[in-house]
Amino acid sequence: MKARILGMACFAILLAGAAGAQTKISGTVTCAKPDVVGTQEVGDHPGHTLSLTKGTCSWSKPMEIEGAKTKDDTDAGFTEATATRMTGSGFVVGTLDSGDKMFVSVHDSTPIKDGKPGETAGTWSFSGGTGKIKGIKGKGTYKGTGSADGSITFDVEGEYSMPAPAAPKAAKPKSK
Amino acid sequence: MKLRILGFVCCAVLLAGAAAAQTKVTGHQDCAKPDVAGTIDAGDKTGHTLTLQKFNCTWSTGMEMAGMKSKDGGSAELVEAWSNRTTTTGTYVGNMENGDKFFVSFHDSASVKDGKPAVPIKGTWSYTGGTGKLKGIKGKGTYTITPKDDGGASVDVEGDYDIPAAAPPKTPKSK
Repeated sequence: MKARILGMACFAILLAGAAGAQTKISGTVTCAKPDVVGTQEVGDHPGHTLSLTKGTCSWSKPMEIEGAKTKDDTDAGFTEATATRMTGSGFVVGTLDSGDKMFVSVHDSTPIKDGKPGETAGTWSFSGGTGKIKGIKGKGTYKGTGSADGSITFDVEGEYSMPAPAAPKAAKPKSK
Repeated sequence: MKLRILGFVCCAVLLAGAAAAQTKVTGHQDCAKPDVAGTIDAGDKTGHTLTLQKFNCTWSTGMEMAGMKSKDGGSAELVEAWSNRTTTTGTYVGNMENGDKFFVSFHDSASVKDGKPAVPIKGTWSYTGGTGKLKGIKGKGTYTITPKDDGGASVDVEGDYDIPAAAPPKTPKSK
């Protein structure tokens, strides 16, 4: 009887572990100065603008996801700037070296002092993926430092999990 | 003694009323087809786009604030659209008849079917500031948007506001 209870407890622990299995990931990505598609003055305070931007990024230290490595990204986003702060929200489509794609939502904030941006701090979360990473979930943080050419290098970290594979359907016995 | 207690109660009620003095506002504005500064595909899903645009509007029924009426204004806004939903976030700068301004932050969302948003589109707004007699204005409300065939929009607005009482003038110190 004791052995049976122990067996059931072990099985429950294994199931719980599999369901919540989070894998840590980290990497470094550099994004070129973004293309500004449009900008508008808001009009309420000097320097308050909204901008629509898109850009490309490449991973110098890739994140490894399900055995594939992140290669490059495209991003599209909004930036709201005031005299003292920039906040950005956007969407990243990342391509892995396997050809699979990951979809990521990002949100960040950058302090401005004397007209110059400081360190960017942000959060991200997976909103989906294709191929082997279909159904990926996870989130994390990033920090970025700008360069004189307008590019920003981000250190990214976080974790992800993949949905458990669906159990094979048992064939129904045919009734005679 | 009873009169004294009654006096205190009346004073407390008046003070509480003054502190929470909210004035209702309503109005209607018509907005021309927006100027689109740019649109980009997010790239993750078909039909997921980001758009930056600006509306210019005229109040046919001005909102009355501090004895003045709103005349016209404009909004800078960011629109995120999917195949089945659209959300808009932005800032509106309104001009009063006397030249004072009020600033409003707003947000709305609508489901989309066959490429068109379900109407009326409903949203919420809140004052973020003002100038002149509207300096320090606070308040919030709701709005409904009915799109027009020409790309413009008809907007009904309602809510409430209050403006902080001006600080009493400092009395000169006696020597």
